[in-house]
Amino acid sequence: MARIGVFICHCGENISATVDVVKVAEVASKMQGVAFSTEYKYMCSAPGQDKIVQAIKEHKLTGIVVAACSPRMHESTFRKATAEGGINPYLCEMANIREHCSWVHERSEETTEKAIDIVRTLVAKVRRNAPLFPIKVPVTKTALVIGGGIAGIQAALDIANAGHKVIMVEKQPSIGGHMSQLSETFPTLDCSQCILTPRMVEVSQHPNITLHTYAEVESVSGFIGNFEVKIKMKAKSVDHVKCTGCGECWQKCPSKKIPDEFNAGLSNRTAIYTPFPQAVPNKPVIDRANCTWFTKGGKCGICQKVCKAEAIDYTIQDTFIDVKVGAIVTATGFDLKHTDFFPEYGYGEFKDVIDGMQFERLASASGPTAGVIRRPSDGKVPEKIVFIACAGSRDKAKGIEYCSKICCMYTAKHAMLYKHKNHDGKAYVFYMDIRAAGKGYDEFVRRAIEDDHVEYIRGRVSKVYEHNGKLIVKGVDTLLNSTPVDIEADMVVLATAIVANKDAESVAQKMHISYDKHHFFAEAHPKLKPVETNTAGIMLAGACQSAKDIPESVSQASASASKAIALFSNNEMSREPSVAAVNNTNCTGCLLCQDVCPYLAIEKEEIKDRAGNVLRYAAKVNSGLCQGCGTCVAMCRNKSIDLQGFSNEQMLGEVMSLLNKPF
Amino acid sequence: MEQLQNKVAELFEKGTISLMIGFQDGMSKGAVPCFVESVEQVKLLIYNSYCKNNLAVYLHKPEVKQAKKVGIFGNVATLRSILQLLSENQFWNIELTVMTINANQEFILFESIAEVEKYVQANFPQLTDEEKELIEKINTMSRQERWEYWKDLFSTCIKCYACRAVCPMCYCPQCTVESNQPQWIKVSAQTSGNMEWHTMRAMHLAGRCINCGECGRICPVGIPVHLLTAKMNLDLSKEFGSKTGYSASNGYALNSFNPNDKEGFIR
Amino acid sequence: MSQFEPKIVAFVCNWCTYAGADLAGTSRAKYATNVRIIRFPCTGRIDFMLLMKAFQNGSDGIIISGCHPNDCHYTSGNFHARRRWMVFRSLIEFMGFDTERITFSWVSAAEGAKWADLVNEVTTKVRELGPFTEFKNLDYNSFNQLDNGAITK
Repeated sequence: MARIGVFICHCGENISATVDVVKVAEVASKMQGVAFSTEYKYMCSAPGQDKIVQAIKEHKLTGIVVAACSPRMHESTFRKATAEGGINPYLCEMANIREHCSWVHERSEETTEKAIDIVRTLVAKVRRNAPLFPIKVPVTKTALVIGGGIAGIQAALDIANAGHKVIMVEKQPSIGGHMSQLSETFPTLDCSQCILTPRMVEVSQHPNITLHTYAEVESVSGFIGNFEVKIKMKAKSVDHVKCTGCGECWQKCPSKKIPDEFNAGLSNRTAIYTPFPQAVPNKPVIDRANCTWFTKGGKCGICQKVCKAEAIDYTIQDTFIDVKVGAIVTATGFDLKHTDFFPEYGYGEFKDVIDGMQFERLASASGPTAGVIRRPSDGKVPEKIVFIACAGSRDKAKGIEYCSKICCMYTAKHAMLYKHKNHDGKAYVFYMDIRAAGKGYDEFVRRAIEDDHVEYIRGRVSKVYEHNGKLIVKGVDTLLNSTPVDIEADMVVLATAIVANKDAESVAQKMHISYDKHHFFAEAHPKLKPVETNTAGIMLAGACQSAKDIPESVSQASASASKAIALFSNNEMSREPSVAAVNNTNCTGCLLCQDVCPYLAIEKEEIKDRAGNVLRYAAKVNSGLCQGCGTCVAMCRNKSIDLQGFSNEQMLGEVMSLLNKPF
Repeated sequence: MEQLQNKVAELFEKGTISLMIGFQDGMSKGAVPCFVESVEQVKLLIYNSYCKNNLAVYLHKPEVKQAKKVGIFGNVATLRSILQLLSENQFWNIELTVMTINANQEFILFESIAEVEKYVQANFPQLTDEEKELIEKINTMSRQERWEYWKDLFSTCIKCYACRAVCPMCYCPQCTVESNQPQWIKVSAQTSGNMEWHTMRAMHLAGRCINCGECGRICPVGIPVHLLTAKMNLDLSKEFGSKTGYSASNGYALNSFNPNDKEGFIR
Repeated sequence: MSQFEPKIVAFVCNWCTYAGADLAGTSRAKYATNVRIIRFPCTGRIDFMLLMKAFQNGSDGIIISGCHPNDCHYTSGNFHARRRWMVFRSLIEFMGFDTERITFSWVSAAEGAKWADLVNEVTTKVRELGPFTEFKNLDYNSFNQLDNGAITK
């Protein structure tokens, strides 16, 4: 027998000014299932909540309805009070007679009638409320960080320093990502490697971090707190335990003509190589696709002969390991758009038209030209450089309508670096807008213009072509009445668009996280959940989510780490119990509900007899994943699946009672 | 017919099937369903123009499921029902051998479900002209007329649930209509309850019904209930490209979505 | 002379429209008193049978509202709901149901004003359409007697 207590709040005068609360309390006392009804000025205050606690004990109540403000305000307050009174907190509901009634209507009989209807609806719901208990899910206190760039490194260090184990997986032979390729970073012109490499070393030496380089995630299954991940360790061909890092092998390797990815194609490397001198781990791998031993059936083998540590083994195969983790941080980073999408700029055609990363390598002291800006065609130092901003971004016709965020800053930086190295050289920047919104960013761009005398021209470039060994850049100055501007440049640098890592789609599909049409990973909510995905337990950090600079990547990485650390703060995770559950005696096993769940929370369950023979199949909800949307419930034809907290009986009860019909 | 009987006898002898569902002579009723369990009974099996029933509905019966190795003979509607049910995970524990007779009176024994799919896709039926005409007629009525039309029909419904019994897609062990906690559909044969029942049934069949028309044929008071689902399927195939009974891993229009679904009626 | 006041039931999702209605309240927007809101976690949870039940038991008009496409708190609940509504609406239209009495809408948590406008619009429209006697009188035969299910033809 239901014994429900109804508490009508005056909310000072917010409700009582328009609604006759005394009448509502009186009518409520006669409603079906109500054993006690009262009204009070401020239900959410301490004495108000105490009324609930006392009433439960005195009148042996089995449910509570508080008619006051919106449940979005005080549902948890009154549920706590209900729990204090000794009954399950989920037996308490709130009837919204403030935001939905007293605040939007004038004082009238209809308004009071409406308040009575609303109270009656929630009484009918509470009559059918069942006690619910938070769901406990065990948590494996290990995190997986996918990607060893600055975002991955930051996340890994944060989680490891909090005392939890981290497994980091990086597909390149070394961690560091694109930041290791930069020469100096804006707006401070810090040496990029100098601030990055200490972090890289920290990661490799941290007792809580297990680093797997030259490895990729093969598959991910399971759910938050309980992921099972298979990692493919690609065959390095070098035993890193025996290898001493002496460097004999790559010094003697005869295959020297492979374009060096680290130097953005501006120089060559050998088949057995470390990507850069400060690589972590600083031990080489063999690029089997370009190694003579592997491509020409066993010819060569020089590296093995000269290796004194006998670390080279051509027979090593790809291996797979299985790990259990509780949370995953995805930090797979970005790429630059490399294709010849701008044939009008001669990108890919003229050697001296390069992109931003190539310029970084030219400017870098450890780059192919030892920090001297030289033309790739003839090695001469350019006297005039033209920088073209927005080369590909913000262009619907080229398919990239977003802004790549960092190009205005790095173009200014590149122009400044050039001017610092070549005081007499001339630098021009063709721009559309200047986006320099960070701390110290606008001041940085002003320095480029005012101190380093970089000439900024507002306009786009229509064409770049070669003539007599020079690159003719045809642009326009829109601030000077659209005067055409032609520059005879020695080098053109394009600020090409930032795009998602080329493997982003397959990584996202392996983890069942969503991504947009540009393959940037989707966050759970653009404003309020920027580092989580819709898959509970998988976080995002860095440029894989959208183009961003280093401070933002680091912030996001720490934010992701904090989510993981919060998850690991208990041995068990407690979840709201508004989840779906299947009545498997009624379920037909058609599993049409499986496809509607955005969280993949529905599985196929085998119903067996005592001997272990499978009798039939039924659906089963993984309460660790279910978020309680109820789409499966409305999908089920014979109502075998129900949502606790918004069950079929409760909702039908609400509808019938709202219209004052018996149910 | 002889080919059918010979082939089935062979299957029994080889042990490929232990139960055959087909048609036998129904005398004044034309043809009625028939369950053959041994080689001796095979001679009962016939095929003629009266064989219209959709036999797939028997595949849900516990006696048939116990038989484990079942042969079934039917027309394109039956084949489509089988494919649709396979895509809903039914019959996973029955070894089905499927047979049919095509438009040229040739007997076909399918070696695999993939072959059934190919046959169905090559002979995918449309609605009959009669059905299309009746739907057009209803479409062109004014709203008031439509309401009166269906109200008159539903007032005669006696809630016998024959339409549910004969439908292969209605296989839920406990139908929503049998639930009394809560009572979703009124049990009595009043018009409002009848309308609830038929609306619910049409919604549950939208995107699953293969238009065999059995429900309309079997209704003892002559309500053309098959038109409701036929209209649903016309709409679904036009809006979402939905094709029921097309393959053994069919999609379902109502558990998938397209972010670009047209929604002219949503404010 | 009492004017007919329609009873309108609103089925709304907790994360967008319910919050939008809360915002209308906080902004003290004024709208007609006829609407009563029932809270669902998501529009995907709304069973079409509840709509029929609402009409059968005295509702003259219905509002169903949720998050805009792509904004669903649960990612895709409103997409499934939209498909379901398209199919349901087409079915009841075929059956001659007055679909003017059902209004579907997307109201986000920031659109308090839209909610108030919507309620006023729907109330005015349903008031003009009058009480839903067609549905309520289904069980009454032409002699105004409650039809007990006997076949009269």
